[in-house]
Order: sequence, then structure tokens, then C-alpha cells
Amino acid sequence: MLDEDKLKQVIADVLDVEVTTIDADFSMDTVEVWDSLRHMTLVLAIEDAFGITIPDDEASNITSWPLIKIVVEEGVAAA
Amino acid sequence: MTLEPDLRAALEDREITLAALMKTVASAERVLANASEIVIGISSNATVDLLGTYIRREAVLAGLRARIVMGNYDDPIGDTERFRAEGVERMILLPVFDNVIPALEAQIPHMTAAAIADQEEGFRAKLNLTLEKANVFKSVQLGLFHRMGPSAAPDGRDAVAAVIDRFNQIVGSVAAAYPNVQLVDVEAAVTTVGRETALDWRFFLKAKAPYSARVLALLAARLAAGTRNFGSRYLKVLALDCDNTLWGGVLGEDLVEGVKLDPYDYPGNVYWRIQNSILALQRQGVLLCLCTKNNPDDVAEMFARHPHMVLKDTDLVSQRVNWIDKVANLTDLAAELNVDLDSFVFLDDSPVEVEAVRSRLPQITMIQVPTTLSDYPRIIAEVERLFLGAGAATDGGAKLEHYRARAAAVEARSAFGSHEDYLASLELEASIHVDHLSEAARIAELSQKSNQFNLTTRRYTQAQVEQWMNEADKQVFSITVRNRFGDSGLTGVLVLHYDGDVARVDNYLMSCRVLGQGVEFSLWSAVLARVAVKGAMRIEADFIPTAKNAQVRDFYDRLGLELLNDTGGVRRYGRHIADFTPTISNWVKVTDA
Repeated sequence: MLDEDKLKQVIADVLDVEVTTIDADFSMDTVEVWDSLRHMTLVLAIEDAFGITIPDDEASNITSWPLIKIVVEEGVAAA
Repeated sequence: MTLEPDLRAALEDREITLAALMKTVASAERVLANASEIVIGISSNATVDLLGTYIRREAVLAGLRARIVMGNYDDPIGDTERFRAEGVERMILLPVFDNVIPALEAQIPHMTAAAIADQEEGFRAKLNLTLEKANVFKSVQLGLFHRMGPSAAPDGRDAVAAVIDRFNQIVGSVAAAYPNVQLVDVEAAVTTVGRETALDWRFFLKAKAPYSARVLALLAARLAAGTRNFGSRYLKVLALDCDNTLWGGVLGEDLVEGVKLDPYDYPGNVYWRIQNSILALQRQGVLLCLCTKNNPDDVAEMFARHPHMVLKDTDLVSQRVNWIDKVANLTDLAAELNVDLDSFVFLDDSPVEVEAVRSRLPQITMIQVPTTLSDYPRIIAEVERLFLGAGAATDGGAKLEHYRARAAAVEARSAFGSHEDYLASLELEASIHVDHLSEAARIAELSQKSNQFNLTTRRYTQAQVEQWMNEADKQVFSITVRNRFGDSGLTGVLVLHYDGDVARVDNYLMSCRVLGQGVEFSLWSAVLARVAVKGAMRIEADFIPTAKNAQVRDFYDRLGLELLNDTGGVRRYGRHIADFTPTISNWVKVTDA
């Protein structure tokens, strides 16, 4: 079972935003500081926090909250 | 202005998750808002931005706030200039071997000796110029090269190993001429973590980011120690407890005959090894003293009579062997030696004593002998790092070598007199294409990806580019750059829209791969010639600011255009073509295909 609050907290910490701003519209296009560098850090931070490895091709695609949730959910289930 | 114990504990926790660390560092920096700020510039031919976060961690642990200035991709010479303008005090230079040119490790086995020698000379020249310009910084920490993948050769001595050795020799000999340069063993951090987890191929291949967070964390600690916590502190004194610190067992109970200390057998061999390391520190100038609860006569007898005592009475500058509490003893020692308490490291095995000193004399660096004895050598290695971090070895032999190498490097430096000479030696060639349909995909891609050298940040799709290439009132220029080491490919794009007699630059952008080489100025004469053919009289161009493109804010000024207006940072430039002679880079050979 994915701990959504924990995932949101990780995202909030890395992107330096309030947890409450993370919703369905939360994406690389709407968050200013979320650039490709920060994205890399975000992937590392998520992997680190959940002890999972996000597959190569998915790592660059998870650029919104809904997509992150799906991929991390899969990762946690497989772990 | 000091950190709460909880916050400090979180910062010191080496297992903390990355997200939690980022948050903790940010809160610690808020607490330390009034503390002094140090400015650190990081320059690399790879993406190592995360290192900044870990450096900031080390800084707040030392009671400072670090402001990190990231350099451009693979532009160490340009970085030194930018760093100076940004007020950088200390520079970290972290070149990654495999990325000196793309996939260097994979290329070496089939490269000719001449081609490798060429790379070496190019690297030497570039490093020389970088370090010469970086002479103004308090310190330049320069990473030594290491390999990405293990050698397939059973003895590990393949061509890559040999070339890396030679590159590292170059680093050593060039660096020797500059006293502010400190070499940093990056490989040590990589092997401590383990190469498999240290290097992240996913991000290396996608984003040129080779190092995992763990390596960067270790590296940051190493870098911080190397500058003695960014010059915040000089450690001078190592105070030592005795029982279960210098030997195993309790002297008062086990007596001189019963304590564990000898070169061969466990656990005595651990303490014997530790004493050797401590003696080595003493020989390198660290002041040793005892601060221990024992009977003075027992300790004196131990030092005088035990056959395996490595440390002698005469190695100690002072002793406090009594039953008074250690806080009082340490304070007393500091007064006697006339040094500040913050230059003390205290080594003790008792958690109670450690806690007492830590809470009442927080300026002292407390090191506890680990409960797992086999960890003790590793802890002593940490102590060595704390003391010797900033140091060239002080022993005579090494110093002599250092001076010899330095003299040699000063000679080699004369190879290139200036940055321009160096750039000329690269034999840069830029070729310009106009409306090449086969390049539309790459042009669109570059316009999507380029952030720093991007004057308007207008992004194009392939279809758009192709359409403009076919339209009479649009022109799409592309710039392909090569130098004597190889081809950088399509690295620049300029889009012109014609409107009456005005040629308007819709966007001008370059890949960061070629920044700092003057290529950005090279093509304008050729472009203007084309514009004249089209019958335009005037050229106009805009700069639109974004979070990432500050470095080209004054590009059109430098090129020689006139600033017409500046509305909220959006700068419009223009000039009559007839009286416009753009800035050029003499060292770039331009061909207009």
C-alpha cells in the first residue's frame, strides 16, 4: 500500500512547495522550480525514501503528481 | 544562532533520506540566518548539482551558511570568471574522466597513441589556464580522475588504467604550481560506497550525472574536511582518554600486565594500530595530551614499562590524569596551552563522558571510540582527516617532491600565454547552414532543451522549423562546431523573420557544450552577409529573461547591437546593418556552406 502522505512530503521537500499544493494538476509545467535537474533529484529522493528503483524509461516520464503516484505505487507493490 | 540538538542530530545522520536532508538543511540555514556566509563555486564537466546540497549540510554543521554557485557545463575557465563576479571564495573543480570527451573510457582502447597524447596536452593546457585564473580563490579543490567501469583485464592494468594514471600525473604536476590547489581523491569516495552503487549509469547516460547521492554526500564531507570546515576552524590538539581508548581493559584493575595491547593478537592489535596512527598525527604537528580518570602512577608506569606502548611520555605536551571531571580538565588544558577549546578533538570510549563534554563544551569535537572495536580504525581515519584535511604532507621528503614538481609545472605553464592562445590551439571551426531540412529535428530538439544560452526561450517544434525553412520570409541558421579533438555537432540555432526591411531575430540559442569558446560571436558576419542579400536594412533582436538565461542578458550589448528599450527586463536591440560590425572571435574559423 502506498503511503501517499509520505510521497507528497518527499515531493514537497525536494521542490520546496507546500504539501497542500500537490494535487492532480501538480506537474512540471505548473511548478516553476521543477526543472530537469530538480527532476533528477526528485527521482533519487523518491527511490531513497521508498527503497525502490524506478525503471529507466519511467524515470524521465513521471512529471506530474498522478504519474508519480502510479509509478511509485507499482514500485512499492513489486518491492 | 546555534542549532537545536534535534536538528543537529538529523544533519549528522548519514542515513537520512535525501528529501528529509534537503528540508533539514533549509531549516538549519534559516536558524543560521545571521551566521557568516561562504560562497562556493562548483565547476564540472558533468552534472553534480546535488553536491551543493551536501556541501550546504557540511557548512551548517560547521555553523556557516554556504551559498553554492554552479558553473556551466564543462567550462572551467569561464566558470572561474563567473565565480569571481559572484564573490566565490572557494572553488571545487570536479572533472569526470569518461566525459573529458564522450565515452573516453570506451574510446581509449581503439585510439591511437597520438590521439591520446593530443587529449593529454589539451587537458593540460586547459587545466593550467583554469588554475591560473583560479589563483584568486582561497582554495581550489581539484578532483582526481577515476574510472567508471572496472577493468576487464585480470590485473586491472589495461589501457584505461594507464591513461588515467597519466592524466592524474598531469593533474599533480600542473596543480603543484598553485599553492591554493588541493587534490581530492574522488575514487576513495567511490570505492567506499562501492562502485556499483556509487555510479548511476541511468543518470550519467541521460543527464551526464554520474554520481549517486551517497558518493556526493561522502565527497562533500571530504571536501569540507579538506578546507577544515571551510576555514572556520583549525584543529590543533588531540586529547586522549586512556582505558579502552589507548589500550583494552582498565589499568586500575587489569594492571600493566593485563591490559590488551600488542602488535599481533586481537583485540590488543587494534589498540596498537590506533596508537601508531596517533603517533603519526603527533609527528605531523598535532599536539597530544591525556585527559583521563586514572591513578597518575598507574599511567606513568604503563607509559614507562609496557613493552608495546607506541606512544611515549615525551610525545605528550600535557597530561590531566586525575579524578576531576573532564570538562574542568579540558578547560584547564586549553588555558595551559593557550588554544581555543574549538581546536580540540577529544577521544573517549565512555558514552557518559562523551555526552557530558558534548553538552557542556559543544565547541570541542567529540569522538567516541566505537562499541564495535573493528570500527575503531575507521574512526581514527576520520580523526586523521579532521586534522590533516587542509594539509600538504609535512614530512620533508614529500615537500621536496612538491617543490620539484612545482618548478616543472611553472615551466610547462608557459606553453600557452593566454586564454586566447589556448582557444586558438583548439583549432575551432564553425560551419553555418541555412535552411537544411535534414537538421530540422535536431534544431527543434536543441530549442526545447537549451536554457542557459537562449535569448528568448521560444521553443520550436520540428514541423514549425521545417515550415519556416520553406518560407521565403524566414531563415533558420544552424551552427556545427568542431575542434581538433572532435566534432561537437549541431550546437547553435538562429532564426530570422523578415518584416519589410527589418530582419528580426526570433531566437538565438546555443548548446552549453561549446560555451566559453567564443563560438557564439563567430557566425554573425556570415549571418549579416545573408541578411544583406535578402535586402534588409536593419537587424533587431530581443532578450527575454527567464530563471535560467541571466548569463546572456548582455549578449547583444557585447555583440555590438544598440539597446532600444528595456521593459521589465525584456530588452529590445537593433542596429542598421550598414554601420554594424559585430564582435568576432578571431580564433574560430567560419565556413558558410
